[in-house]
Amino acid sequence: MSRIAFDHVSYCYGNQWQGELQYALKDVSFSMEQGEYVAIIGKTGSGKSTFLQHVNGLLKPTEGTVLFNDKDIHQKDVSIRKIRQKVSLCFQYPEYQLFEENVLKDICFGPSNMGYSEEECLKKARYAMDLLELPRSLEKVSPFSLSGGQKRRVALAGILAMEPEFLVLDEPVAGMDQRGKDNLFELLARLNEENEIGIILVSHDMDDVAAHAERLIVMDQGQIIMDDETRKVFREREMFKNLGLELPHPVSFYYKLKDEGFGISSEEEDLPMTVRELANYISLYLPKNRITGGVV
Amino acid sequence: MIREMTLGQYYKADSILHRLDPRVKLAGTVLFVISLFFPKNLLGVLVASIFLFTVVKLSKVPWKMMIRGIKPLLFVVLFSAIVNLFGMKGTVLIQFGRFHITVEGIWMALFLIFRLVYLVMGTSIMTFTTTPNQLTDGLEKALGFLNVIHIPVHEIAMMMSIALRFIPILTEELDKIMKAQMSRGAAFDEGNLLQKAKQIVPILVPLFVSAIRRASELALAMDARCYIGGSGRTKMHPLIYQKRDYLAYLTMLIYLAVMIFISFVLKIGAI
Repeated sequence: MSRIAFDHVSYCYGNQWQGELQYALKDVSFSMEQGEYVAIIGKTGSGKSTFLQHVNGLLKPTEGTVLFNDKDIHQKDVSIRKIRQKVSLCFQYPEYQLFEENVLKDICFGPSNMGYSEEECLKKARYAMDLLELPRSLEKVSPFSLSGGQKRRVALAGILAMEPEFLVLDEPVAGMDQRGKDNLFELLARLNEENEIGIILVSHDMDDVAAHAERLIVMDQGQIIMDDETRKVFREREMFKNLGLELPHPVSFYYKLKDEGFGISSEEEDLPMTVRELANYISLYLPKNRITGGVV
Repeated sequence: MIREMTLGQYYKADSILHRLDPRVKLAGTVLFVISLFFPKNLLGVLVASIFLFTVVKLSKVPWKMMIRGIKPLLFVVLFSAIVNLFGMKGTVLIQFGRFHITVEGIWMALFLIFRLVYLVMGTSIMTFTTTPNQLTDGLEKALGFLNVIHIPVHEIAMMMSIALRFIPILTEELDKIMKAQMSRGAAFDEGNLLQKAKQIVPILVPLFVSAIRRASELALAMDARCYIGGSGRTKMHPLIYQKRDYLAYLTMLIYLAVMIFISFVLKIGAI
């Protein structure tokens, strides 16, 4: 089982001329095991993207170390390419990185950079295409002639073809329709459970985060201000208000009910993370004879 | 590397130079560059130095930044200076083998360094204190007379300001694409020349695709807002000369007169 860890990582960028140095990350410590499903939330400019770019060594910390399996990834004897194969980063709108003449070649770009033979590359590429439900008939098609959704899936296939141990995604569902979103989250859940791929996901959509991530990291001004089980993080109503972050719809609905005196007020109730859980919760408190629907 | 280049960058500050009309700065820069070719003696160099240093001081642009602007050109400057140093005929000072350094060569090399460095500093002080938009505005107005001979000045100026506006966007895009391809295992500094050239393809193709996409989106947006070009178009910040602009022109002319006087009338220490 692989492991990613940040040990007191800070990252400065600055305008040397205007004088002030700014911290994009400030003393961040964090660790995760392969197989975890982590989401990062925070306002724009809170350091989420900088954080992600440290995970696979695109940015080098100004202070502190980033560790993969307890080894500093910026050490000379560590192959950064190997790290990037094992920890794959998918940027926002990954479809803009497509460049090859056909889909298959583009998906093979990653594996062939990793030094696999042509045969192995093709095998991995086809495996990734199957994962993303891309039909074989698309193999010889130019990626530029595809639709937006298909392009995104080809780009993701190009990343999954490297068979990473960790998958790091920056707003993977931005601009997707509901069906595309559902499919993608289903795929991520499957990769996480069956293939034990660790997932780090940045998202602005709290509903998605609540429904899918097990662990939640809240960032503000380059610092991790909370890192806990998703359910527990959303208990901090005040913090969310102060940071100007929204709560997921089921959670805010739950709080509204609570404020109106619905249900039995006990502190240790589990918050509903999905609409289904919310419905189940409500049904608990409805008089039994009035339940007519099939809410389970 | 791209970020290191200061030539063409704008430095935000509040100074008299920032407030000057861009036309004054354009004309001033052209005159200053021309004046650099006058001096044949040290007095001219001194006057040019005093003028340039005063302007830099007035502009509030830090010296560190001015010097950084010269750095990328250091190689060119030194190379041409060395060529001049050895290439001149005249009084031989030092001789070794086939090479010889002459007094004239040393003077030539020094003047060349002076000209090139001041040329870069003079033009960068203009770009440091003028935003690209002001600059194209100034150019458009200054070259407006070309409309008479049916040169579409406004359209050319518009294209220029769009091109300038897109430089930071494309820089950012380039950075993102490079990082995305690096995440897929691309390395841009490995292998021989042919391999290196091949490694550029995964960057250039997405960059061009995105540039073209952005261009067509912008064209559509301009069309949607009924943009029809220059005729009858008014400005948000019309360029009107102020008192300080006339003063600046006057200063510039006095400087030019002094330079001409020193270089062509006074003939002290000429070489």
